Amino acid sequence: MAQEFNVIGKVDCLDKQHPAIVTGRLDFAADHPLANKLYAATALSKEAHARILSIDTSQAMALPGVEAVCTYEDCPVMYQTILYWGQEIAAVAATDPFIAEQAAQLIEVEYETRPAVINMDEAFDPNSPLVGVWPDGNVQNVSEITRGDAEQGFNEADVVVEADIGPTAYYQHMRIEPESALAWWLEDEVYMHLHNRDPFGKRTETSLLLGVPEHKLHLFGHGCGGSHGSVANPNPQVIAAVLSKKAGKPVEMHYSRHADITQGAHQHEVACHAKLGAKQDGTFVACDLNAYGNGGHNPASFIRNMSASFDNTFACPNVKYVDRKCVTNRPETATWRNVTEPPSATFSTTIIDVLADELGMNPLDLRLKNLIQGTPKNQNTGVVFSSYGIKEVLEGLDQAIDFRTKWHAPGTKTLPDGRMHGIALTGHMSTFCSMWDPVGAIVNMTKDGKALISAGISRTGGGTVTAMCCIVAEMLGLKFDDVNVGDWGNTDVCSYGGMQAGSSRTITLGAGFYNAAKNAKEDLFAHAAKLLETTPDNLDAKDGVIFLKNNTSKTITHAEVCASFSGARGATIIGKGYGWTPQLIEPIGEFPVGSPCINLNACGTAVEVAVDTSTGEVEILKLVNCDDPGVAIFRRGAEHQILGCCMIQEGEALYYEQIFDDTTGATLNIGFLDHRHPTTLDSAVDKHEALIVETGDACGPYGCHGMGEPPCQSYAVISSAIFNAIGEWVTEYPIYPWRILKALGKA
Amino acid sequence: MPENERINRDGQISRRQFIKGAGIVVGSTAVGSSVLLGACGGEESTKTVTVTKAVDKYVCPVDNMQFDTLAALQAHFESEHAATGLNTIALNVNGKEYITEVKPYWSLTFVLREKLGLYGVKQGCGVGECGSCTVIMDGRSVYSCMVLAIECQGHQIKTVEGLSDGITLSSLQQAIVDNSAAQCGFCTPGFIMSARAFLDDNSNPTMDEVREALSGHVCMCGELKTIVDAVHGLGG
Repeated sequence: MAQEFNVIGKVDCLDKQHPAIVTGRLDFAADHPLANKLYAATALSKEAHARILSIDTSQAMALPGVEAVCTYEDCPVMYQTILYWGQEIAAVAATDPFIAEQAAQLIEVEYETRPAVINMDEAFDPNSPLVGVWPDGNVQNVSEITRGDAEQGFNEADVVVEADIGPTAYYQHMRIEPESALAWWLEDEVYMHLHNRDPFGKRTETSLLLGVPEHKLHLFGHGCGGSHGSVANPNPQVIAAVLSKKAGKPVEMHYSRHADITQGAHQHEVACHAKLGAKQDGTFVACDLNAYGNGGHNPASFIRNMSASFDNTFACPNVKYVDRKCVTNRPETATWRNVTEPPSATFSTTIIDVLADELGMNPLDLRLKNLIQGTPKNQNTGVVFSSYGIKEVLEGLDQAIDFRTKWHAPGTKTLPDGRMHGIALTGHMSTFCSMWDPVGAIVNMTKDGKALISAGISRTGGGTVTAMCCIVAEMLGLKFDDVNVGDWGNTDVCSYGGMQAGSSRTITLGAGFYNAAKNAKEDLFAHAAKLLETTPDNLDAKDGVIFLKNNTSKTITHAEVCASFSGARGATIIGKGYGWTPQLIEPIGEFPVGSPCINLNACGTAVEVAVDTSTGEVEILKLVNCDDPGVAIFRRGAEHQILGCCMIQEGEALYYEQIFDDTTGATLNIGFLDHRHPTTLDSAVDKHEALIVETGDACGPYGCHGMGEPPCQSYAVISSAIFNAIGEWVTEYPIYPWRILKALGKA
Repeated sequence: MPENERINRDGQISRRQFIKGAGIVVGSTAVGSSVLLGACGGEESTKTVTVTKAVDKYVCPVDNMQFDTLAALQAHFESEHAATGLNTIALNVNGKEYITEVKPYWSLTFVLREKLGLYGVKQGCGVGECGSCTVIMDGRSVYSCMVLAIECQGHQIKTVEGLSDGITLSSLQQAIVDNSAAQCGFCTPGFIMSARAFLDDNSNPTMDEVREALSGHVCMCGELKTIVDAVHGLGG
């Protein structure tokens, strides 16, 4: 990048939150001692589809230590209609969590059971029973995108390939901190400590659910033990508040792992039939996608636009994309890390590699050939992309893994130990990095010339808070160490910080802090100009020193200016700022400054595997994950987001799956031992590499956009590498060894 | 793999499963934790035993009476100890002696957090699967959710709060910071305590030894590589 930074992108900037984490000081929602605190536990449905006829809580209330019970009759986040196994039907508050758990087991429920639909293929059968309360059937939200004439395009193609891809797995987030909340109802006001990524959103939602006006709800966001798209529902804090009102004491709701795995959000499963047509030289001419998604019991799930990864990355004149979503009697699906784009990238990665094989063409060349040419823009709406670094990402991956040298025809390279070698590479533009709603941010300068920053959002990882410190330090001309994190996530004193979701905080909240720091800088420079007998536009600042642009020897420190501004007892300099809506702040091609734009993140992965064809075991030999954050504001954080996504890609491809009983809908693998996650023994931790390329962004502050989620979307590259190793496709996930043996005709 | 997880995997037993299975909290939990404390005591032979095979006597955690069956222990506990309620015990944590009142069925996690205010001990699962609640007991890492507080008298317990003086980070904590080996931070204290116990036993580990030592923990943010690197970098 042309712009030189003093703080942004520097490798010596360490995470501001880490000292608190390694000493155990970072407080999470349940880490608060309160006198007479009660502990809650939930009773969960043993049916997947039913109506509660009666509920008897008398035995639970009779257990010594129990002080309050709530059910669907008095708790607004519980329902008489049961739509999935494990649904909350009641909750208990007791003097310790073990009594509460015991009491929850004593709640007796009489159900009127109804036929349950557990699997996607049943739900799409028009003769299946209705899943829930939607009279229009189990298939919801069919959407279609067409461009050009797909049928005509296929007629003109030299080569047409088709593939059935998926289903991808249905799995739970399994972040390590279960959903938690601590609520205390005092007269007509409620105080809440939250494990939630969106304190302001939860304030509004909780206000509606509890009937308490927002100015009497005091919410405190805290450390958030992993979100990954979850912790968005208000149940823990609402249940805790209802029980607190009943008991007259503070109540802590810390879900058991059992409750968390059924109550929390899940990633949906998707299967699709894909068809891609091309000219003999590899030019795409037509694409047809029929996608089927399982949204669990909630029709509002986020299954949509399964074509996004393909369509935002590659030029194709004739397309027809159809998304269909069904409901089933499973726990809710909602946002997962990168939401729709891991399965979307799965479709794109697989069908392109199927075509490359048919053409006998290097998959990297096929991708590079079909990138969008000219000014990058959405092929359906014509709205310009504020960045398009996919070529740089693909070329970076090629260099990092030496793809052109190592790539070979499928099933043709045997390693010295007899295993088959496979290699693959993929990359896409992701929509998860973008500017959402305008937020508010506050920069409060101290009398000694430093700055504290505040925003109303949770501490979901230290990346956001540290990136905001980098932006403020850069704008004010302070050292990184001179900016610290002040009150954070407190809805009483902070401004709306938006939702920690969609990898949007660096660009969105970053824009807020960019303007807040700029606002503080106006007062800072105005006062400095008086002291230096000049005008503010003659000034610049670096490392805590303000100087004249044309005479750098004439200086004054931030500390001297702030001390003078405040005097002995005067006001300190405060900057407030709001973010901006997605529009260009630099021109791109024919699009001038101010044009509405779409923020996209280029990301991709290259992987080498060894496959044992006698056992079906896959070993990751090397996994390089590349992302273009525009500009890496907090470089260490960006690298670690990418590295983290290496492990998640392994998990999505090879491990994650929640297994449901076909008849009862019961989850059969509750817990970390069975709902598997890679551990230090499973994951190829020493084979992971993070690669950052920076191509800038014409919309985001200092040329950045978000980047937390996109690097996890390319897990299908592991399937492609397995194909390159054994010459057979395995596209059902997770790719268990038995699935590979089955593809090889050995199981 | 830490002994406590091995026992959990092999024995297919967990405190919560026991609670549900037995129907009576106090009697049943003593069984699993007695074995765990045995593993903490340093006898090599206890490292790989499974719970179901190892338990031939059911030991009352209050008076150490032995019974042949779980039902007999439960009956004894109900008749002799059910009314005892809170018990005053002394816990040695981070080198300090704490006098606190506990109920016989309270986990060490619960007491460390809610009675002693040591919230650096996290509870991620409560059933010995995630490793977030790991503390060091008599030099060995244990899942504190799988240990009853009432049985911890006489043992030396260390939590993440005991690793530094509050001013300067310990070398292990500093290594985690320098390697940026944390994201959300919920699993980190548990990882650190296992790593501390491991490095105290093996000051110059291989990468594979580090990976095995930390394999009883789960991290969803994906800092496994950097945690392993940080711990391995402290060796030698």
